[in-house]
Amino acid sequence: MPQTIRGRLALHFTLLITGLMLVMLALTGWLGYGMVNDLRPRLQSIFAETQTLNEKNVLLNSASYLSEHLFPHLYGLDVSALNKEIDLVREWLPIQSFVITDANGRIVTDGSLTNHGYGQPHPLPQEPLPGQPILESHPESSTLSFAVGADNRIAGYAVVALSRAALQTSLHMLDEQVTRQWERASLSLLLGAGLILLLVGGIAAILIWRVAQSLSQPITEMVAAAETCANGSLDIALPVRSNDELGHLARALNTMAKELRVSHRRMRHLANYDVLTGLPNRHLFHDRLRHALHAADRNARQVGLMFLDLDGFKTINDSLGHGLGDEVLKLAASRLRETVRASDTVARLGGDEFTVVAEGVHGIPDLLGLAEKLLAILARPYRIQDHQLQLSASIGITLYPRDGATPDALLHSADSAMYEAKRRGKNAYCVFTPELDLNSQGRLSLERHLEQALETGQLELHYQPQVHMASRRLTGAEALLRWRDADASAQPGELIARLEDASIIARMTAWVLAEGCRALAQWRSQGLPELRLAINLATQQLTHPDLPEIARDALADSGLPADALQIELTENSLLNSTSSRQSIERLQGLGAQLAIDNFGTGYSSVVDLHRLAIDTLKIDRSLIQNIATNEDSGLITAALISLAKQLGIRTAAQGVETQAQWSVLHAQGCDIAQGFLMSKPLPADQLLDWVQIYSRTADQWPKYVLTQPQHFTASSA
Amino acid sequence: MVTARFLLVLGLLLGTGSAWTDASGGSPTPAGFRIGVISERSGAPSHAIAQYGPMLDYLQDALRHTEIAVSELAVAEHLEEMRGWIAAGQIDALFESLIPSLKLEIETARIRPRLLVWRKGQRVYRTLFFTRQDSPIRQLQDLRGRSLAVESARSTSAFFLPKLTLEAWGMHLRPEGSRRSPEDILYSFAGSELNQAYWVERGKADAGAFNDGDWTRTPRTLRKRLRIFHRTPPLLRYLLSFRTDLPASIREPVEAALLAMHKDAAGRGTLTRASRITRIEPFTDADRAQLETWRARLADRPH
Repeated sequence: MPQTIRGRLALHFTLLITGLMLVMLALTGWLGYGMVNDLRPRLQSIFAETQTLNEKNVLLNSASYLSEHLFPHLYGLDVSALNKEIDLVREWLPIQSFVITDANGRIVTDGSLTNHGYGQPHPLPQEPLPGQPILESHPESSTLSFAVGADNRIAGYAVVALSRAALQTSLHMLDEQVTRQWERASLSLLLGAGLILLLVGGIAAILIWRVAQSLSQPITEMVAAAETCANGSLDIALPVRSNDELGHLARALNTMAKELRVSHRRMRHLANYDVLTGLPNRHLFHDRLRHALHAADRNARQVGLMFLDLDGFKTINDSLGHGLGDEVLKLAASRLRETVRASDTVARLGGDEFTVVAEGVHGIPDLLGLAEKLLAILARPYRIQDHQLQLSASIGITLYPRDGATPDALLHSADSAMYEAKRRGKNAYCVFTPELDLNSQGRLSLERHLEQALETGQLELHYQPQVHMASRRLTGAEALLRWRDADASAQPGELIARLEDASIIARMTAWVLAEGCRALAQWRSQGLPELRLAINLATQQLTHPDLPEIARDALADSGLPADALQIELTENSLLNSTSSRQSIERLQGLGAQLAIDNFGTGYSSVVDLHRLAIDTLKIDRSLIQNIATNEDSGLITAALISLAKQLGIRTAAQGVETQAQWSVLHAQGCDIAQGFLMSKPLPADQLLDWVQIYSRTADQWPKYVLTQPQHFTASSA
Repeated sequence: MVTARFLLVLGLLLGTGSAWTDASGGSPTPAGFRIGVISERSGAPSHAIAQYGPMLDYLQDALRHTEIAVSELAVAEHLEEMRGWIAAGQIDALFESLIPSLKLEIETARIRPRLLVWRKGQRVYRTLFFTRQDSPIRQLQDLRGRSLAVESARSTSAFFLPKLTLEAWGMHLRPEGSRRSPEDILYSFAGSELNQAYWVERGKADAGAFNDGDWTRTPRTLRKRLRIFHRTPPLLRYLLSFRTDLPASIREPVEAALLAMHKDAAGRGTLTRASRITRIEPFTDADRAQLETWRARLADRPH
């Protein structure tokens, strides 16, 4: 049995048709044969009859002719002449015997010289009369008897025996002929039938093969196309040959491949481009930079690299929210893109960091001009959603191959230069000089800055209210680290996560905790007795062996009970690390509360949550952002809230910025809300004010949107 | 002008006319060696020509070294016609039986028998007189007043000889229907020897006369009912006569060729076809003596 559709179809149908043909031909042949068989004897009998009739007529006519001819000779007894006449007759009649008798019926001559029967009586069947010959027919011979004479004078009689052998021979020959013809005909019929069978079979096979092929070929093509796609090459284009199921399938496969191609392209694009601004991302930037450096090597040109950081962006992000911050970034990005040359590349490295790769430059002066332009364009006001904002940038400028041999080195140099620019007062550019680059100072500078900031009082804590949704009362405040110098505001954990020096980390942690507890103590004594302090800690902080002591000390110094402190950890902090667990246990042992920050985006297990006696789950802002618009986010948060409830854990929502979000969360049963809808992070002294002002209007929440249009100057010195 | 054209046309006509007559086997041209026969079947000279044709061809072939040209056979319908040709010198040789040959010799004096021809295996034959078994005729004399069946007017053994024989016995033979006296023997021509036998057997004639060869060829059924009552002495069967004034330069080569013809199979075949000639040979003395006898006899009789 053949293995292909084509083969099977072809075989079956060919067999079917051939079978049918055979049956038909057999039937026809059998009928034909029967008919001919009937025909033969009938033919023979007709022929025999006709022959006999002919014979008869001939003979009867011959009789009269012969009678006339023989008469004078018989009358004159000219036996020689009689014999001669008989010889003549033998030539045109099949004579077996020719006997001439006298009037008395005695043989005169039998045509032979020997004349054996001379004088003997010859039997006459009857006595024929002149002009009335008698013809007797027997199977083998006929006998013609006639009177030799005219009118009344009879000279004698003639009895002619004619062999019918001729007729028999003719019949036999006819039979033979017919048989031979029939055999020949039947042979040629058979041959013809065989040929027809072959022909029809052949044609049928060809047609069926083609039909099967028209089926199996598209399928084979599709199989090949599917395999091609599976192997990674989505560049398939199946021919749509027909408007049937196969055609639909081909079209569908083509569409699928196209969609896949499109999505792959999009993914590739995503891999290379920043979603928000559309600029090349870090990955593509590095690629472009490498390429530019190689090109520069080939063409003996130089490449300029600028590292751009937006001043005060973090402030905007914190105060006005990430949505607005994103808009700012987009605008800044487009301004940058429009300003640079077509051959230059602007990339967003992340956050508010941008780079510019300027190819084909001849020296620093080219870059300075560009930097000026960029500063100017970025400094123009940004009008977003009724806000008018202003930004500036700090730019670090480096030149290849002067300031670095590799892309990383170059970037590093640019980064250093950028920091220098910031240090010098921002809204400035700084060209890299070797003194700025101290390899180990990349990270160290941050730490040193931090240290410096700490010592000079550049750091301060801001607090974002955490509101109980049901009662709309202030239940807690999350402490955020604000760095006045770098104009950066971040969760302490985030910032500290960048540090490596354990001692700095410890010092920072201690400071944060102490400062926070101090503020809290003050608030508690000023009318918010139940208020709690929430502090975000990085994993490094958590695993620091001294953490529990630091915490205890801070609490003790401020005179607060341990449950006034809520430690906020990321999900990943809980992962597997025994030191983390130990720390957590020790903190809990103190009495501090535990909250999981950015919940829903990490790798925690429900079992762990329950076992670790987590107090609060803070749902990640990314889930909150889409909660009102995206059905899935809503489902997820609902599920999380429900899960937490079942486990007896409180839920808090981060980044609540709209009324709709509040409504949904409230409906889903979330306990606590934190975000710009209530308040931006406030300095310690403003918190009480906020409480006073807005506690009055608590019953009107969430109608009030905290952030009133304000002129917000980031570059205030 | 006109006369010239007239003469031309005339000349052409004559030329074609002579060619015409030639083709029908008419008067022979002076050139060439011409053999003549008298037709056995009246009105069918082509039969004789077909019979003798191969022999003549053979003869011509035998004479190819000579200047003799063998002409086409001259076939006469009857004796009188042949006589005229011989008298005119148009026949160089004649195949014929004895009595007609001698008659022609006597009448024309221009031919003379020179060679003997065996025919139907016989060099001599004799005439037999026969009658029915139950007939009262026992001897020739008994034929007086009766009828005799003879073959045809030119048959030697079945007409001439019986006639001569009977006349030698003092009996008169007259044609049928012309009886002058009661003792006349009336003869009728039966047409063939076979018919003669049948006629006698059936009583259409009282007796018949033909040669001994014919007797053997009569059907036995007939023969046993017939009886021979007289036999004649033997007669030379067939003769080849030559023109008397034929130059020996012509005659001798021809004779030599003819004498030699029976020696090979082809020659024999042609001879057989030419009326069943077995061989040709020169006369013996006895033959010549017989010829002389017959010459004398025939010359006596007025004809």
